[in-house]
Amino acid sequence: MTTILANQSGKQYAYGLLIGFAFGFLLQKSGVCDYDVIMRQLLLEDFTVIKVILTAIITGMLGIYAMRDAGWVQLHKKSGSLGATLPGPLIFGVGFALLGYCPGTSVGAVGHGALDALVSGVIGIMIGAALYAAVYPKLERNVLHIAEFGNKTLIDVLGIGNAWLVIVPVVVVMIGFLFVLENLEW
Amino acid sequence: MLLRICVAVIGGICVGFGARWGKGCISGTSQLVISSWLAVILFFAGGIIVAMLLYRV
Repeated sequence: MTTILANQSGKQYAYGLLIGFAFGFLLQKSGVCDYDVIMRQLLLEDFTVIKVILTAIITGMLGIYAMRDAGWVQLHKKSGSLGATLPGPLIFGVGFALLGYCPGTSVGAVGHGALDALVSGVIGIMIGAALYAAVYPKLERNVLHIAEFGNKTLIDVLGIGNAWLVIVPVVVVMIGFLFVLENLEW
Repeated sequence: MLLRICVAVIGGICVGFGARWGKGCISGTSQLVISSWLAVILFFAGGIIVAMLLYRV
């Protein structure tokens, strides 16, 4: 289904726009486009961000694997290496705390008129990505391929043939964790 | 106000740079990709440490 969609760029834009509207609306509605909500998460005072992310992972996981089983989509797994997956996310995390938004929530916050998200967020992120492109050849040669560990999933690592035997327990654990977060007094 | 803009621009540059270096967003977590989970944990670790240093130390 998605291959058919990918060959019809007009339809693909239309679906993308529709899903983008829904994504932005729900991101805003969940409260995670708010600077204070994000900072209070990083200070471990408010767990809205973690709750939204975990809920999204649960629904995403069930949806993606169900659609894969139905033959509608293929998995798009990115491979990692210590040279890429260790320093990159750490730098991202530092920026996340300094800026108070991640890329998606920056754009979401621009929607409610947050100028810091526009000037520092969207434009800053583009400058950062451009700087990365400038140093990419050097990183590619010297750092990115250090200790590669491929694009294995938890299912591959456990060596279990039926993905759902891994997905269902993982979902149960995540729901349990959400339940604890929801009922804990901080 | 000026301080906030300067810090936030540096933050934005780090976010863009780190996102590219770490090969993208956290959407791989839904596929249970190990590298994606490692990335999410590290990006929160970095964020929590810096936020604590900024506001709690």
